[in-house]
Amino acid sequence: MDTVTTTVAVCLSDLPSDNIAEILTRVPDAVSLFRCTVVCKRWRDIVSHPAFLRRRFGDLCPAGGGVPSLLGFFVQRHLVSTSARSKVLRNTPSWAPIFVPAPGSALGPTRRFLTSFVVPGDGDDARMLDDAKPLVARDGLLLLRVLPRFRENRAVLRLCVCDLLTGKRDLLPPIDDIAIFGGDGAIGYAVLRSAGDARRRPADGYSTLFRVLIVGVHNLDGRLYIGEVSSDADAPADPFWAAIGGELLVTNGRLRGCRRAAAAVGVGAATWLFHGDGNDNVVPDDGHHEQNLHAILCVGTDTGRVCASRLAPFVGDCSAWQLDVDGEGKFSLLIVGDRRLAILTNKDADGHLAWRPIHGDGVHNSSNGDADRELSGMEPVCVAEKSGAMLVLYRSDPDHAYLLDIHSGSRTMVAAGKRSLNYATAVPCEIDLVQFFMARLGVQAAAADPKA
Amino acid sequence: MASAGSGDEKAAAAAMITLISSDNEKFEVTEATATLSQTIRHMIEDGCTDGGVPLPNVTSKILARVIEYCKKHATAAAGEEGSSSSFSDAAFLEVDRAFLEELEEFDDAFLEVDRATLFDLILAANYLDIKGLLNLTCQKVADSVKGKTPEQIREMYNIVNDLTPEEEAEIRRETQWAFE
Repeated sequence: MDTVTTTVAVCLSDLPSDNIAEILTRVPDAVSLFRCTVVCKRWRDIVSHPAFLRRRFGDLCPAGGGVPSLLGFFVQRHLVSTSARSKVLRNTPSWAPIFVPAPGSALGPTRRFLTSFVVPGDGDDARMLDDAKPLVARDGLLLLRVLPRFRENRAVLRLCVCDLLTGKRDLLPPIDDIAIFGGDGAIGYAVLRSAGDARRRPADGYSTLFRVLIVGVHNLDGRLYIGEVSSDADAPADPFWAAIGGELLVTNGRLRGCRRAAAAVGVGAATWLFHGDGNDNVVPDDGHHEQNLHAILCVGTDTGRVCASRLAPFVGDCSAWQLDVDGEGKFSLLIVGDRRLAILTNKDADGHLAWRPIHGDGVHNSSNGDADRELSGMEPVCVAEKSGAMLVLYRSDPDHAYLLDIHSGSRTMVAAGKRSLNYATAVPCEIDLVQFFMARLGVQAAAADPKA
Repeated sequence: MASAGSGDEKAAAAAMITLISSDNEKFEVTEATATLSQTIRHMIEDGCTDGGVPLPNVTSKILARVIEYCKKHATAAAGEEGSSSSFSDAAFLEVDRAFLEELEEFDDAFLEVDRATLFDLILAANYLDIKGLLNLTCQKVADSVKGKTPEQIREMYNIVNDLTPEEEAEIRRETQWAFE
């Protein structure tokens, strides 16, 4: 009340900052709000205050916990021939992956290039993100596979970590993944933002504190291998590579690959789901033919502990997605199969798994006509871990992508069809908008306003 | 508020409050209307409304508009309380919907004011702590900013850009995607 000193406000600048904050907190979308930060100093200082941002995005971040919201997906283009490419080159300013906003995204409905979030470097690196393949995203970090440099070994694995919060990008040293993992190379990835504190800083040449985990199954011995690259100055300069113990070498079959390249990362652990082939000649005690072997690889990201366990065979052919992992290594698996959608949870410490259906009776069956139509021919692409939304494609409709809310079962089309986009490469982008604004504005705000 | 629906019409009629604007104009309003303002509600609760409530920060012109808003919305609040006991009744829901539509039309018409009046209403809503009015008026300004460039916003509201060119370039570089 004391702030009201005038009785008449002739223009907006006459209003006290409290009232300006009331107005700015109601600006409908994040893009418009970002533009407001350039209007004048006072507006910039109001918007870049943490309390303002927490209030503004409070509905997206319940309980102030900074739960990220699903902003959209990074999608690669379909590969086109060089001649076709030169034809469309005129209309295409960049070949970097494209950001496709999710329905209702806080960033608005406009598609953008990854290069709008992450400024590419100069010289050789200027076009580094061209044709890059998004692999996995987490905590505002996006891991991509980039094309090898000119005259570099074409088979070499080049990875790039883009920090969507700060707009910086770091190129990892080239990795000869075929030598480590055998013919299939690396098949699973995870990227983690390391908690920064005063003692930890990125090594020379890196701008962000992160860790990248890479896994593969060797095609000759069937063993799982894991590697880690860290940008921490205190971490060993060379990536470490380790074979994981033999317990995953199943007696009647062999692991072939990874269901999804992206790991499910929970508090303190990253997990991948592997599949393999069983031996038809051996009928196990429970009478099931083990045609589909599945195993979980769980890596403790704080402890470095690696554990792996086999899953009970699923009935029929199915594709799975890990949903969540908690600190004790308990995980939930979202299973998408033949007209089925269910969550598999390991309920107890012994690793017993229990089916937990979703959607009421959960496992969709043929008695439910609508659900049947929705699930038939459905190919899951990726799951946004925090918001529980799954991007799916349909074999009958490959140019459109749909977002399926796995809790409610509701389905929305992501965007009108654009044939050049390869939605099968989509990687979900969940960002804490408070952190996003702070990272993009925080430095100047702190410099200009000691209170902030 | 409790007296509003009790049928004790005399008690409700008796509970009148006098509001005094900065230019000493007096406004008689019912307690139900006045208590949409949290500031006045607290004064009533503290029993310091005898002889009128002086509002030195609000002119008579603005106070008249504020009271117009509060009268309409106080009726709405009373209506909601009345119908809540029989919310399952379809007829009541129909009445409610019609009333809400009417209220929306009222709000839209209420906002058809010049900029200076709008800013004064924001000041008054903030000072009197009237949530609905503050929301309504601030939203109006916020919506006008949507989709505009910083230059357009400055021009629209006569805001002086006091950012240095370096500062502005820095923010634009960091938030490049917002300007595409």
